[in-house]
Amino acid sequence: MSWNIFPDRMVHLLEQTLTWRSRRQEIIAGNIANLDTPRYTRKELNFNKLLTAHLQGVPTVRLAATHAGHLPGKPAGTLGAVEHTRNSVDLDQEMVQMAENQLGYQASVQMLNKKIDQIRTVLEGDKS
Amino acid sequence: MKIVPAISVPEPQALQSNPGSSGPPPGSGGLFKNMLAQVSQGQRQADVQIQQALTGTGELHDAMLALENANLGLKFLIQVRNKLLQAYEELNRMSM
Amino acid sequence: MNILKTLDICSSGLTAQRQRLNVIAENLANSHTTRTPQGGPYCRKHVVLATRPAEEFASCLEDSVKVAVTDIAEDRQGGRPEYDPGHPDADDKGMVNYPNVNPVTEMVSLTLASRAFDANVSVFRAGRAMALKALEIGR
Repeated sequence: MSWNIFPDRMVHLLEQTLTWRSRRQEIIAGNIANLDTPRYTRKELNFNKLLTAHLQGVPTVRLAATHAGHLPGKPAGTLGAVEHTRNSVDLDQEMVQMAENQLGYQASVQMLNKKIDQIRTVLEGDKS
Repeated sequence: MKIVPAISVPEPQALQSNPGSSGPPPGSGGLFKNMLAQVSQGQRQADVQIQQALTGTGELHDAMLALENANLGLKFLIQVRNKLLQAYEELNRMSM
Repeated sequence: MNILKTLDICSSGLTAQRQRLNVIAENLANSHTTRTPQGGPYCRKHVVLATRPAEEFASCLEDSVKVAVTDIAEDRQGGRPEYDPGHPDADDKGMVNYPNVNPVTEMVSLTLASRAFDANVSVFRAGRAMALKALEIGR
C-alpha cells in the first residue's frame, strides 16, 4: 500500500465522488450530443445510488447487466452502473442535471481543498 | 490507481513490529527510514498519476490529489527531520 | 483525462449540428433551383445522425457515445409542380417542377439545430469549468 498522508476515509470518499461526477458528465454530454439522433434513448448514471451503495459497503455496483464481458483495463469506478433508460432525451432535464453535476464536482473539490488545508496547517503551524 | 488510506503516522507500538528495520534495534532511525521509503513511494505514485493524466488514461483530479499527497508527505518528512535534529542538538548540549 | 472525453463528445455534437446547418442552408438556397447537373430540379437533402462509441474498441452499451453524421440523404418525395409555360424549364404541359423544399420546415429545423448547438456549447463550458476547478486542488 502506498503512502497516504490523509488519515481519514472522507478524503478517499471525496476523491471517489470526483470520479463518479466526471463519468456522469461524460454520460450527460453523450445524451446532449445525441439530442436529435433518431431512436436514441438516454443513458443515466445515478450518483445518489452509487454514493449510498458505497457508504453501505457494497463493493461494486452492478445493475442489470445486459451485456457479457467487460474489456480489461477499464477504470473500475463505475463499472456496470450506467443505466439505459427507455426515454428520449429531454433537453431541459439534461441541462439541469448537468448544472447539478458541475456544482457537485466543484463542491467536492472545495471540500478536498479544506481537508488539504487542515493537514497543511498541522505541518506548517498555522502560517496562513 | 487509487490512493488507499494507509497508516498515516506510525505509532510507537508499531516500532516493535516495524518491518523496515531488520538489523539495528527499532529506534527513530528505523522509523525515519520507513517514513522515507513510504514518502518515496508516494512520489513515485504521483509520477505514475501524472503520466496517466498526460496521456489521457487517468483522471485529472487523481493526479492533482496524488501530487498534493506527495507534497504534503515531503513536508511532513522535513518537519520530522527538523525535530529529530533539534532533539539531537539538545541532547548534545545537555551532555556538555 | 476524462475531461478530454467529454470535450470530444461535445465537439462531435457541435460538428454534427453544424453539418446539419450547412445542409439546411443548402436547401434554402436552392429552394427554387430547377436545373441541376443530374438533370431535373434540386432534391432536398437531410442529414442522418447516428451514435458512435466515444472510445475505440469499446462496447456501445457500457461507454458513452458521441454522434456522427453517417449520411446526407436526398429526399425524393414530393415536389411542387407549378404551371408556368413561359419558364425555360417548363415541360410540354407547361408545368415546371420546383424542388420539394418547404421553407417553414427548414426554418424549424434551423431552430432545432441552433438549440442543440447551444446545448453542446453549454456542456463544453461546464466540462471546462470542472477541469479548471480540479486544477485548483491544493491551492
